[in-house]
Amino acid sequence: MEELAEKLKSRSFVFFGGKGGTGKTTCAAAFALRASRDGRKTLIASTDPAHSLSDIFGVAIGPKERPISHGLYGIEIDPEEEAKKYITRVKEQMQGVVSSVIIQEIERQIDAAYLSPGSEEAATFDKFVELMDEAGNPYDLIVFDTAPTGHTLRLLTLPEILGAWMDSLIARRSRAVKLLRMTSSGSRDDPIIKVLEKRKASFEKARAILTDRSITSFVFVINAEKLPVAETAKALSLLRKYGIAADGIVINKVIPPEAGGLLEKRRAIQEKYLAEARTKFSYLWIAEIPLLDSDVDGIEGLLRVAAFL
Amino acid sequence: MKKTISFLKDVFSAILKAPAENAITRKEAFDANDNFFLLLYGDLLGIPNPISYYALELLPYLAPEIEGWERRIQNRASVIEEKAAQFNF
Repeated sequence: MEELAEKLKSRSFVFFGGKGGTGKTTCAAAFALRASRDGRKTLIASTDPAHSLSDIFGVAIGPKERPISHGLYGIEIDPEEEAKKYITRVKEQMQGVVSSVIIQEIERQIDAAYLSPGSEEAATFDKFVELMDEAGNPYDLIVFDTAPTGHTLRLLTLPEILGAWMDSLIARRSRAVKLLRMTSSGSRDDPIIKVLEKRKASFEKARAILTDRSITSFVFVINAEKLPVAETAKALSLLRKYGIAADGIVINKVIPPEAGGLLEKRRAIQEKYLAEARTKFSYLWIAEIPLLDSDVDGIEGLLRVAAFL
Repeated sequence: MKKTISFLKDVFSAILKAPAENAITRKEAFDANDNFFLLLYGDLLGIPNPISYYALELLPYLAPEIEGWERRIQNRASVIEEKAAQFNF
């Protein structure tokens, strides 16, 4: 069973996704811990708004990277914090540029955008692009513990959707600027187009990283039950549409044959979905983790899980 | 001689027509820019906008233009008037 971790050894970014409650965080943490024990400098980053990394490692991990164990670092991305940093940056840029009346107007705008849907995702997305940016990335491996499927799919498909908006914006603005220049009242260098193009480039970079199979991998964590299997199959086909390919499946909490008693009946039901998952995802690398006799808690517990990856 | 006259004709007609053409081009430019603003800040008018978060970083540069745009676009009469003017009614 040691295949999955072995096969993903050369990757720089590994995403763990799946339906809520299947054990994503546990598997991501175990995977990261194992990589760090193998001597790779590893960061585990949670993009789930309901973070649970701190709970599983038993240490307080915040919105700033901090060491957890030897060679292992953690961060829980806080969208609110990231949005605040971004807005502060915008406000700094504004200093001395415009009149006080207009500054008031802008403050109003900022409050509106802050509350608008999509802002949290955008803030999380920006942080995770920042983490993956090779220039400042000191880690050999970054493991992402993502939010439940729907949330993560939106996050990963963001560059594609927003890229199209940027194209359209740039085209319109360019036309306006060009026409104005014909009347010789427009300026040659439009700062707006420059800012838009910079943003577009960052989306393209994120997309390039996400779709590059030699450095980025996706692993889905499921249970041998009806809904997780069905949802993951849907998620995989949607990701494929956006050019993102998954590499692995972890079937978590598999009831072992020796369980007996009450669990025997559940095991019979599970057998069916286990077979379904094995055939449906046969083109991926599959790891199976048995249902353990104790709660997974702290480094010791995670190492126990890691042995099955 | 004929050549010279035709040349002068062209020059004078260009001088006479230029301001009108210029005005039309300006109108077109403003129109294109209005469309740009609508895509960027449509959420101010109640149109859902997936990029409103990223539109923020443009504000410092666009602030001088945005006030006029908002006023114009919220005033139906002025929008229609402007459109009408474009077609020389």
